[in-house]
Amino acid sequence: MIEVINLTKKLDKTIAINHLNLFITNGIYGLVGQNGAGKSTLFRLLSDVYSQDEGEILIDSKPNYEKEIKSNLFFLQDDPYYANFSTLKNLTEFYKCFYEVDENYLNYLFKTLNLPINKQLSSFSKGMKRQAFISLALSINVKYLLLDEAFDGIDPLALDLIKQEIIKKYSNNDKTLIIASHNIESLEKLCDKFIIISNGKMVAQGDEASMSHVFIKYQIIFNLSNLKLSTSNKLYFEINEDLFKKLDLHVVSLNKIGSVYELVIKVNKDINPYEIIKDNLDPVLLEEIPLTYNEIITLQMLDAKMDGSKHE
Amino acid sequence: MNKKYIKYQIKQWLPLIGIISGILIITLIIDLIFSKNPMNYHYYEASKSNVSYQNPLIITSCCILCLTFFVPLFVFSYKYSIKKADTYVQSPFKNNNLKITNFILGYLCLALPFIVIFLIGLLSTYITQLINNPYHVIVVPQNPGMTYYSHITFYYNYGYLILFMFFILFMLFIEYSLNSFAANFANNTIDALIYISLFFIFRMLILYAIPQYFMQNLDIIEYDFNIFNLSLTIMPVISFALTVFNSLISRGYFDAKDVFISDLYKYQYVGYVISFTFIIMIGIFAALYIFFIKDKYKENYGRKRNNTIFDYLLPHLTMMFIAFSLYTITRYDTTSKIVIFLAFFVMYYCLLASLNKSFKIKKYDLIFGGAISLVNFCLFIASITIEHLYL
Amino acid sequence: MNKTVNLFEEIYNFYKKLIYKGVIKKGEYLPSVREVALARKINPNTVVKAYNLLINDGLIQAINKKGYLVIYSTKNNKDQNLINELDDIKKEGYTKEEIINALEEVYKND
Repeated sequence: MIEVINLTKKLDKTIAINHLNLFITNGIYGLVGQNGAGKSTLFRLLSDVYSQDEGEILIDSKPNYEKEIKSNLFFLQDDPYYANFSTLKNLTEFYKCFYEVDENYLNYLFKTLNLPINKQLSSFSKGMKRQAFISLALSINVKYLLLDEAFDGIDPLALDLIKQEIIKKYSNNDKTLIIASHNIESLEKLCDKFIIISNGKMVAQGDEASMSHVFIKYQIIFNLSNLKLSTSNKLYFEINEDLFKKLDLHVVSLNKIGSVYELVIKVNKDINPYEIIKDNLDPVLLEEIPLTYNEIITLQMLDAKMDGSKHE
Repeated sequence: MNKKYIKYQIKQWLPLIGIISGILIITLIIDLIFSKNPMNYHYYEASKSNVSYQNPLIITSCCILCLTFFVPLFVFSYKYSIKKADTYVQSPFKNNNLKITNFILGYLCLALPFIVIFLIGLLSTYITQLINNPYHVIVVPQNPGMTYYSHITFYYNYGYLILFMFFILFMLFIEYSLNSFAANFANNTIDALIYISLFFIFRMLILYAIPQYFMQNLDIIEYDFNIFNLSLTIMPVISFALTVFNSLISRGYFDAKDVFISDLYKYQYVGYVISFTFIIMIGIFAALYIFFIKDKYKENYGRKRNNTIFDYLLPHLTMMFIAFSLYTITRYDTTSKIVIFLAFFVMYYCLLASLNKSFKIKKYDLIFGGAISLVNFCLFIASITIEHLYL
Repeated sequence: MNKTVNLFEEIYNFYKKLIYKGVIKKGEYLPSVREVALARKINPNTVVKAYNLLINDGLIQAINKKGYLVIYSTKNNKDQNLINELDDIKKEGYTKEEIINALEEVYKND
């Protein structure tokens, strides 16, 4: 169990992590956010590569800089270090200095992924390097594994195998895996919970069920004659976000495709947006359309970005 | 201490150990050739006794002290790149153990080859002495045209030489700690090299100045002008090792005791003793700092310069000392002084630019730098004025 | 009021159809959570949620150490799939007459 309490970190005069609070239990988490939102910084803070300015990080109720805790947590960066001229064998020896490596499993993974053990890592392609490091990360069997953009550049066959191994190892009740990625589609199926951060702050945290009631998407077609003045052809008002904002709706996005408008709003428990739009604007068509999980997460990030720019 | 990590790190540093050993072997060969060359001893014209003790391994000892410059670059390499830092700093070590393990291993990389090669050197001289015992050397006086021959017997006092070896190992630790102290504050290899150099120049200027002060108060400088004096300007540690400790060996077993102690009371040696004590003290402080103080700005590893006092004081204080020495120690004519004055500014700017990795100067650097440039300017004017008034 | 396409609902619907059609008969076991998760490369918890919905509907039962047993029998039961689909059409707002008229149009040529 990872508890992050009021975590703040300033880097180069910008606040990278801003009073962040998180509660992470077991399972596979997806960590999502824009570029520069603070995902890698968060990982570095969790693994004690950085020290926080304010706040606490408790892992299994102990501070994260203690040796026993550190040996149970591993952070795999998107471009990890390997010594010059080292082969996979050398790399394994290196990791064995710090962690317990399940060598049989590791060799099985290397064999299945067709990674040569005695060739220099510098001759590997980017995808092969990623595969090698993920294999190592999986074989050190730590309780807390943090993967930063680990799937980029890996071919679909290898990716399938890796996902299966991840499911085998990290969906137990006693381990935690956090994957930071921009590829929400591939994370969608693998993760049962998501953490969305933006500008160092937490936007949302939870599983599918808790996030699915946050936004609504409507398809709207207007009867333009209703909206025009009788004498001239001018519209009473323009169809833009302000139109809906005046109705006290929290607009996230408004897109026009031909004559159809797609409106996404954030849910407010007290009001019924369907009736408000119907009563005030009398549209020809007003239909709710489903949102995919992917869309929901992107919308969370967009909404947080807009919130942030409002405050500036 | 993690045994597997120690084994791994030694394996990684085998090339470094190889290079150090290689250099020491070369210096050993030079020493052994040199020690047999009578041209070296031409100043021992008329020796007080027929017996003289020499140090056959002086160059090897000086060399190992110079090699302490580079080893800290390897010891702290784990924080000189972002990727390395990410991997090493997250790994499970207790407290400062990573730093301490690397530090001790670095010292062993220097000390162990030195011990082996030093003992080989001693063994070699012992064997050659068994074969040609004693040396008969032709001594040539300083006046050309006049030669006379004298027989001087050279012996090597192995007891003192072993003692000398331990002395060098101790000074090795001190110099190594001081260089590591400087390298510890850096966040990349270039900065580390700059910090080590600056700290070295800083120490050298202070430690040179102290004995100079005492010696300039004497009307006659009593010691001969030889390689030992030259070493004064090269490295204070070596200078102490050579002038005091080596002279202990060269005096001969029975004379040594009296000469050494009576020499120490001589005014000129007070300076050496002060320098020596100073350097030992800061060396021990440096070692303790490395052992016990944790790094504060881990996020700067592999990135930019820290904001600690050391990072600001070191370059500026050293430049201030350089400014002082430029006009007090040297004797140049006015044109050269102008050139030196301008060169000082250029050097200062280049130093700050390479530390900050940008052409803009930071605020604190500007304040300190401005003050020291002003000092430089005043000294420049003062030294020209003095020259014009008194010459 | 809010419709989203959830993965666990997809799996729930998938197996619900199979059970109603009789493809997986009463007395047979559904594939294990782990099998489904590995085959589809999804999180096992998602599969567990889907199976729990099936349990809630009374279609399956969880047997300790053996898996998930189908208890729904298609004998003497109406084709629940068809009923569900028509129910969805009804929810879109069509009246009974509209549906019957549409049916007659579809079967006009038979």
